Amino acid sequence: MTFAPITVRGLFLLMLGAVLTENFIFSKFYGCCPFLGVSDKPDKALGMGMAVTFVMTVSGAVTWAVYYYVLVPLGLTYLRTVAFILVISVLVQFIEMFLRRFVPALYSSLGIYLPLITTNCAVLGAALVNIQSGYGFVPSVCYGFAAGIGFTLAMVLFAGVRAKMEFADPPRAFRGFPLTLIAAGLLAMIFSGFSGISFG
Amino acid sequence: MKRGEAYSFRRLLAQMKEGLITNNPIFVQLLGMCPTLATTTSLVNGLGMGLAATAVLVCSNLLISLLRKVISREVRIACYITIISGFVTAVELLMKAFFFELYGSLGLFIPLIVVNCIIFGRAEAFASRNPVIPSVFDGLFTGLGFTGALCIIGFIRELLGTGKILGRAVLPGYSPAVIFILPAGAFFTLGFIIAAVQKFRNVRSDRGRFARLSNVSEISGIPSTLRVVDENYDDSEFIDDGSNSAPSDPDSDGEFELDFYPDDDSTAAYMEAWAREEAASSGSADEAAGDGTQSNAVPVSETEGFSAEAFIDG
Repeated sequence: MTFAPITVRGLFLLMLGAVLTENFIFSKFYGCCPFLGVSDKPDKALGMGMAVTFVMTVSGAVTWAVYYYVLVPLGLTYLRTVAFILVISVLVQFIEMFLRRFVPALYSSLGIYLPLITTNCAVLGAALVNIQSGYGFVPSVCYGFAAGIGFTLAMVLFAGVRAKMEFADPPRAFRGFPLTLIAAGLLAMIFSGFSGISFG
Repeated sequence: MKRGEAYSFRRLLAQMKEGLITNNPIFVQLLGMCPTLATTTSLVNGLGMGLAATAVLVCSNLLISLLRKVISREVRIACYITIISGFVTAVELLMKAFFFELYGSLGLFIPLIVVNCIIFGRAEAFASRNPVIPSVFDGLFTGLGFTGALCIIGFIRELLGTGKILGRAVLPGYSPAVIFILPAGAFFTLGFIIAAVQKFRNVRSDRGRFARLSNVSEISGIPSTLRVVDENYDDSEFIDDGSNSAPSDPDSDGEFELDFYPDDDSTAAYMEAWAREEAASSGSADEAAGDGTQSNAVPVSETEGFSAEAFIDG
């Protein structure tokens, strides 16, 4: 396995792209369930975002290693979906146990979100993107981290919007989920403005 | 349902209506938002995604239902994930072989069927507790409900975003609103459709509320989302809107759990009814009670039914 060497500048652009132009929620739609579900309070959104960022960074490293050191030598690359989802769910369990044992402060803030992350498609999505784009180890970890930051940014921004929406008086049919979706659409329009930026 | 008992046609119809309309995974249960928003840029993409998920859903429901006595409660989640991801891999390879273009345009969302809340939800709420035949039909109809919803969204987005349907221009002189095939358009389209569904259900529940208050106080056998339980009609309850969209209320704290364990009262009601039937067949004393519930439930749920066509036109 050989990977194209990546410069610091390239790495920076990759990460900036993952946060803004290729934002996981607003351009790729990975992780919409927690985005629409847990974004009603800014502190909850921040907790969920941090938990996702953490798991995504670690799983980016672990799934990369599993793919290139286990699946490729065995010729089982077509089983990557099965392998990754199992690795991620085991990893989430380990992280939960580890944090509870050694970093109780972090556990008390992220703990309740961790079990929800196993079936978060953002985590599996990031792992699959890393493999599909043929990133090396460092870019994989950085991409996972940056995508998590982009996810957190979207969650926190949206939680702020929804906090304001509490005071609105929409038509009855739009209350609840439809209004949430429309507000998300407006934010997505803002984020699609970033795609005009070209990183030359 | 008793072992060896025939799977009745009426149950099939009830399951069909539930999966396709009254308990539609997208428009009513609000599950599986990621593929819904991402893959509906055109009718073909929506259809392909829906059918791929349906295939996985039917197979995983079948296998999980067959293994429901083998899989122990503690390790069930890992087992379901393994089973589902196995079928997803099979579907992925088949699509790569036979529908390469569609596979390319759906991208990572084919492997991401693994983490689709709908499939996991049906496995947990239905297939792990019910016999094989109802589970397969449950998977089929839920999957087709998902497919139908994706097709509706895909149709609207393709029509408004490009002025075409299936790649053929159908609106001469229409200048396409490109926003509808961009990510923002996905949120807008789905938001307006769900608002329309809520409007429709509000109207129905208001009408049903006054009609039914006098004669039936407690109804079992219809989904909680459609059930009218409060005796004292009061406008102030609509402020939090919990009565109309119990699983959809994004402000409830348990919202995210619903993605894993959908608040599936209709399934619970079915199971309750079957449990009662079984009890009735073993001890005939309860028979009257079981029959009473059924005859109560069926006509009421029939009045709740509405046709998809009427809804789309309206």
